[in-house]
Amino acid sequence: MEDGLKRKRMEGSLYKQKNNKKMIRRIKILMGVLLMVWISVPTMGQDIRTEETKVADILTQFPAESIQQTDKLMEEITGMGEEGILRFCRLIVSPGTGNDIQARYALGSLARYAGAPGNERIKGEVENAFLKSLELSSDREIKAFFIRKLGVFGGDATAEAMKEYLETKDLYSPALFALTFAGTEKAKSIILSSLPDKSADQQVETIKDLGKLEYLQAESVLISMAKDPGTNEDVKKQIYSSLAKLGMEESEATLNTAARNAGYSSDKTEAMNAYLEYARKIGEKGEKKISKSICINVLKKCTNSDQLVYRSAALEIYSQLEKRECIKLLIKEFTGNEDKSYRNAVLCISGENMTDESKESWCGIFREVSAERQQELLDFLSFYPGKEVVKKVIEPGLSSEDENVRAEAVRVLAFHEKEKAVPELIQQLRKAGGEKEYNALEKAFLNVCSEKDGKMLAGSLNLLNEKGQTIIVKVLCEKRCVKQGNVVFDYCYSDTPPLRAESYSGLSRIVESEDLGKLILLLEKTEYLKETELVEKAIIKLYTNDTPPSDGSFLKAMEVSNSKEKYIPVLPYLKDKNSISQVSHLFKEGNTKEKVASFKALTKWRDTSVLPILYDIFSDKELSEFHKEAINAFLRESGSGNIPDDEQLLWLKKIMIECQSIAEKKEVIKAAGEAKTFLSLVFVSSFFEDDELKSTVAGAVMNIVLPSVGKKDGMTGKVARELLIKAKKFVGSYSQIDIQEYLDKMIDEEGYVSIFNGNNLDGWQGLVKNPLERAKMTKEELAKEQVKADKLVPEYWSVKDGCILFNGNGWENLCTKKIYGDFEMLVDWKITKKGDSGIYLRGTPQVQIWDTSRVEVGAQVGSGGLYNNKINRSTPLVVADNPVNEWNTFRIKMKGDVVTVYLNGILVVDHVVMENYWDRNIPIFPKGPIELQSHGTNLLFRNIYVKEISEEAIGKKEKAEGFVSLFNGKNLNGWVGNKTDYSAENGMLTVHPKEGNHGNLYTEKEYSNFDFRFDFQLTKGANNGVGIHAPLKGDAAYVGKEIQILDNNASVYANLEKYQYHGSVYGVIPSKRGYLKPVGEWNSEDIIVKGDQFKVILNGEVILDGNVKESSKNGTLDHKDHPGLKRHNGHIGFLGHGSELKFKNIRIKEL
Amino acid sequence: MKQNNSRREFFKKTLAVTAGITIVPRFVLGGPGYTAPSDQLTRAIIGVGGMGKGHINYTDARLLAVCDVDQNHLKEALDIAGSGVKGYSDFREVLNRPDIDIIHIATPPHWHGIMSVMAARAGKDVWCEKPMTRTIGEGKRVKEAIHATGRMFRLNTWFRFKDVFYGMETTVKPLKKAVANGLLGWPLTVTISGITGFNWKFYWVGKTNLQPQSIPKVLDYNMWLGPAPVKPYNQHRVHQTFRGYWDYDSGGLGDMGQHYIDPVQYILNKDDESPVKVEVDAPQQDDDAVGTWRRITYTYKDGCRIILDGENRDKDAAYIEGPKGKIYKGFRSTIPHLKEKLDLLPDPAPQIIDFRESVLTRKKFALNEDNGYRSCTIVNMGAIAVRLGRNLEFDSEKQEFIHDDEANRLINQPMRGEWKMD
Repeated sequence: MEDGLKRKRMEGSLYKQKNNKKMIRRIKILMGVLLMVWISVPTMGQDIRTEETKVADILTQFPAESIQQTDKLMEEITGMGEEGILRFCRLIVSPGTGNDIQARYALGSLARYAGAPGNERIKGEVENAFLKSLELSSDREIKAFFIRKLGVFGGDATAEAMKEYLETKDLYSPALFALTFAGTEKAKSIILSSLPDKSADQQVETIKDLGKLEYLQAESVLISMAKDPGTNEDVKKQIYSSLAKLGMEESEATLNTAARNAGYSSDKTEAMNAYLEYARKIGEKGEKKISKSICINVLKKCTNSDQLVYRSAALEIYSQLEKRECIKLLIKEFTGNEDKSYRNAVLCISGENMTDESKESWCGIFREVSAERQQELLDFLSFYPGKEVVKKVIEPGLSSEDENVRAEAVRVLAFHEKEKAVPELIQQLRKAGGEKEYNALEKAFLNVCSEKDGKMLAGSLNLLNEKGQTIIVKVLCEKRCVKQGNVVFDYCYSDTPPLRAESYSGLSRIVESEDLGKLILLLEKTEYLKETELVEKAIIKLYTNDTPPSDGSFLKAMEVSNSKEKYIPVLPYLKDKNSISQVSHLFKEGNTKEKVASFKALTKWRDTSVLPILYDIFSDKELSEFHKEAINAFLRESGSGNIPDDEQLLWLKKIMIECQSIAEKKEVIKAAGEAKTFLSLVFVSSFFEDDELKSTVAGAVMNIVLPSVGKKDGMTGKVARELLIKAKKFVGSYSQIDIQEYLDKMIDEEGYVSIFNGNNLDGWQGLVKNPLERAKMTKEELAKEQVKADKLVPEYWSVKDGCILFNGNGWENLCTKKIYGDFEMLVDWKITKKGDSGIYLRGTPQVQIWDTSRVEVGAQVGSGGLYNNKINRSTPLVVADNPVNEWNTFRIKMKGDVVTVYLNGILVVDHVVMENYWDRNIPIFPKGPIELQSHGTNLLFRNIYVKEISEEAIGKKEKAEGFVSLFNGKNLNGWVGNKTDYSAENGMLTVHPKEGNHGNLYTEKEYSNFDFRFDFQLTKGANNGVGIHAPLKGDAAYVGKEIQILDNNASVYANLEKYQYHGSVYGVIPSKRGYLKPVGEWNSEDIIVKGDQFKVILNGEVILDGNVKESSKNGTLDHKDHPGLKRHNGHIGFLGHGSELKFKNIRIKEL
Repeated sequence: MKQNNSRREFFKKTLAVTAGITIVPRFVLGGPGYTAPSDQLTRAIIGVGGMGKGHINYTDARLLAVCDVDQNHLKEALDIAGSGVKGYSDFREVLNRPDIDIIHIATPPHWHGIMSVMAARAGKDVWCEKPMTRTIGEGKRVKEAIHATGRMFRLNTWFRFKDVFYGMETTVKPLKKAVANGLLGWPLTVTISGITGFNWKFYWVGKTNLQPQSIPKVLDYNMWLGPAPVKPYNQHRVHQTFRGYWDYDSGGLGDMGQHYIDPVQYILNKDDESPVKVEVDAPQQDDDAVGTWRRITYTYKDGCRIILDGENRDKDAAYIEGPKGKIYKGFRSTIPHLKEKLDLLPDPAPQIIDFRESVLTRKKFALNEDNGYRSCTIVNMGAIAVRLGRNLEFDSEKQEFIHDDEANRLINQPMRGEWKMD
């Protein structure tokens, strides 16, 4: 069987060549050989598989990732022939009895594929297989499944098979559906013959489909059914409708009778609709006489208002038949009917077949009809440009006695003539009268004018009354006629209120930088607040332009002005940074007007420098009238993203204390919910017990803990979990599901733990000497010393209002009892003038804290630095301290000997090695307590949290992400192949090559898409590789793919090709060199494979990201055949090359 | 000029309607024969589960009746609604009550079309939840029925006229102004992603291979299904998770799509046309259960595009981008002093944003059967393309897909038993 298959393929390839007679024989032979070689390599891997394995292999790839992949899979399935397709069909089971999801995906796609144009050749095979499966199954649901699928593509064979199912109650609907979709003659006749003994509902369905299919042979059956007095109304309705669709001569009598019986009105059978639809259909078929006589009949009979719809439909059908002679009839209907909507329909109908002749006819009646009809005609004819429309309709309309007609004529003139209408519109404006006409004119000007009409418009101003002038000023401004700006300035001094108002409100649109002087002049003169604001707006416009005037001239004018309040609103828009202190000063010291204006300006300020000022206003009880707006402005600016989350939170905590109402508190909590930090979680949750706040808190908790959309920044840990569970009770149902989803996936880890309980110093103790000396002490000595040290603690350290307080005297550090290795830490601290402190990590000084004003000791560099470093950097990257007596937040991370510090959300120490202060010859201790340093000044600490980092936690995280271990560390269970050179030692997979035995080690299982993650340690010049999609035999680099593992820094590899570097897809895609750690250190690597897409991440750096198919499109880099590029499934293997090396933590996540 | 164009559109529409022998709409020209409803408007809610319960507190009119096929829902709703409100299990009885002016429809989407049409024909104004309808064909028929009966229709999404436009930290108005005044140039691309507040994919994916369960006594499952095909009951099909099944909705796209797409349609001034192309990047979909998708791209005839980024690939989304500049997340922009510039521009035309006003004056609500149909069609086009797993071309005039029978079949889908919408 396997041999047979192989032979078949080879014959196929030879056959192709025989047909290509033009080819030279030699090339033919050569090609044949090449082809055979090419084919024989991959088939070696594939032919091993049984048909069953093939089915299983294909099924695992459903649902398909993309359209292209679906097509590829379809080729594979159809390549297996009818028997192969049946294998898939047999996998469908009745719901609830097993899992057939993949098979349903596969067959659904197959039906679509078989029905697609161009795939006719496989259609029969698929149809046969489906029909067989349909027949074989006894389950209703499975049968329905196949019928539905056959409906997508089936032909005559399907139609024949459906006969049987049309007679069953259960499968009637899908069968009818399949037949209707097939729509062949055969299908139609089957549908028709099934009609008689169906229920009324089924008959309606069937008749509807017959109509849809326009099956003419159905007519006589339908007519006789219509005549049958026993036929119910629903069925009749459908019969009429379908007969109309068929449009056969013989139906006329039936439909005529039905319409008459309905009284030419709406009834349950909707006979009138069918009657008219029939008239249209038969008219289209060329039977004009019948169609016309129906229309005339309807026109005669339908005169009541509720029949006008039929009348209009008849008119429309008639006009299609008699395009020319119809105009007279249409005009008669238009002039004679009092129903506005009917007249509108008449015009619509005429519009469909508009000719010059009919246009002329409509123009001709304009003067004779009522004003209302004149408006309708104006609107209608505006779509048909031409001289006579202007002359006979628009012009008479413009001089009509009726204002509505004039207004409509103005509108139509503008629409009809566009920009050419301007002079005529100006003429009309001169003689206009009435609000509606002025409105129409204003709209018309706005529609047709542009900047270039400015001159003409301005020129007309003298000829116009004030109403007209107002309109023109508006247009000049709206159209930005800056050249005519002077005119607008002039009218700002007008005595006519509307004209003056229009000029002011348009100002900002026509000013340019040069106008600043004029605007300042105007600003000084304004008396009304509204006008002042409009001038301010115009000045702001100048300063927000791309080329603003200089700040200087404005500030100078302000200085000498007696009404500074008019200038203040502009200040937020100047570049001058000092203006904020000016505004702040005017708010405090200025007169009432200046005060109000200054506050408003402050709320508009877009710069964090405004925060302290707003805070002061907010917290000042005497300024309560500004309270509400101050907090709004504050929250907007603090949440603008211009300050880091940690700093924002410190501000929010301050402002929360000053809040007076629940509403304000809610706003602060919401704002804190936007800062996604652990401390903001702690902060908002402290209000959970307040009934009025708890739902707001719940929302904020959810916001903080759950990942932001599209990011993986969800929070973990016990605190987060508990708060989330609590929050779930107080949020909406959608959010509840969201929370539950997250909780279910959330990994179980400790997270941040509070190491200060807020009430006392449990968990803390005094300091005994230093780590080196402590290490020398015996247990007893140490205990004794500890008692002494602990006695001193209360003298200096105390707890007050949830803070740890140091009283400012002495030098005694406070230490955690617990010992920490790697950890992350949060702590808030506050110092007083001249303050000095620090955080000791693992018992060692220190992350520095000091008052930056102490220049004499170099404190101007800021806090957060690793103060005692000699070799590595000791100063912070930037100064990020808040002023003394304000809180600061540290985020400290220590992993190994590397420390990172954020101060108030700003990175101040970036992965710096911390040195051992106690003994400079050794690295920092692996473990030790955390200490709060005292240095003779008052200190406050609060919110002290530590999250320990452990490898175990990382393992859990990966597990939660879906990784599974491939290597148990003890033996080679789950692996096949070379188990001589490869062995498990101390939790590592080691390679010790023995002479002459260089096979590979493969996973037992096969994988297609995955993230393969492992750690490895190289020896000098070591060479290995990871086989991907590999068969168990052959050179995996070619019959599969190989991701190179190589000490490519070794001198022996100096002349490597790029595609041989570590991490490259060997011979196909090169990688980036330079990210391997020195030989002897452990590297970590991810190989991510998705279809043809390969990505390799080495020690956190993406060193390869490419598509093997794309890259080999024009041949591979090594010019060798890589048949394995076509494979998408196979074993993962270590491809030993005789070098010694080690692997560990081998895990995989299937994608 | 815009007005004139839409009039022309109207000519065409009227013809299309008469071709199907339906009535020339009376409301268009405000014809005679209307009795305005009394000042004391009354209403009923059909469907008082998750979404519908929220409607109880709306204050637009006096609530007289609530209806649900789940006795638990009904009981809860009656408890909240208080006295004077009657409960029903069959919505047809609600429609028969002559004293009710407005019907709120807050059922799953497979009911929206039928109920809207039946309500309109019963002389009620309609306040319908999004998405407007589950198929394009049903939308078309709702539109026709509303026109033919002269009823008022509002869709229950509101971003085009109020509230913050997801992630942009602004209402739609200034965006509309910026676009209408050409600040960004033309054509425009609007990208929307998970910053909308809900992931597009959300959790609205269905489960495959659902096992049959026994139907709870309190639920009339047959009526819950209504026009949808009968499938064995499983609790995941109904109530909060129904959107994960093609028979009732189309996942997150159905749930939130119209919220997000409708304002975009308004900004792009596309209330009168549909995209001509929809491209999808998604894994193959199950016949029954809605799956995830990565990206849906719609293109209009003039080159404007709407991109739904299901993977949140674009960090700065939502954004609106044209040849002259872009406005993105947080209402930031590449155009300096955008806000101040916008202050100086004229406001867009006013809209009626109070349904009460619409009902009393018989003037169309800002988001009605016409523009609502268009934006829902965008949602449904996307759903069809995802469901079939292929890119589709659409004829905006004919409102059908080009050369794709199978896609066209999904425009109208068969309804079960007695339920029809002709």
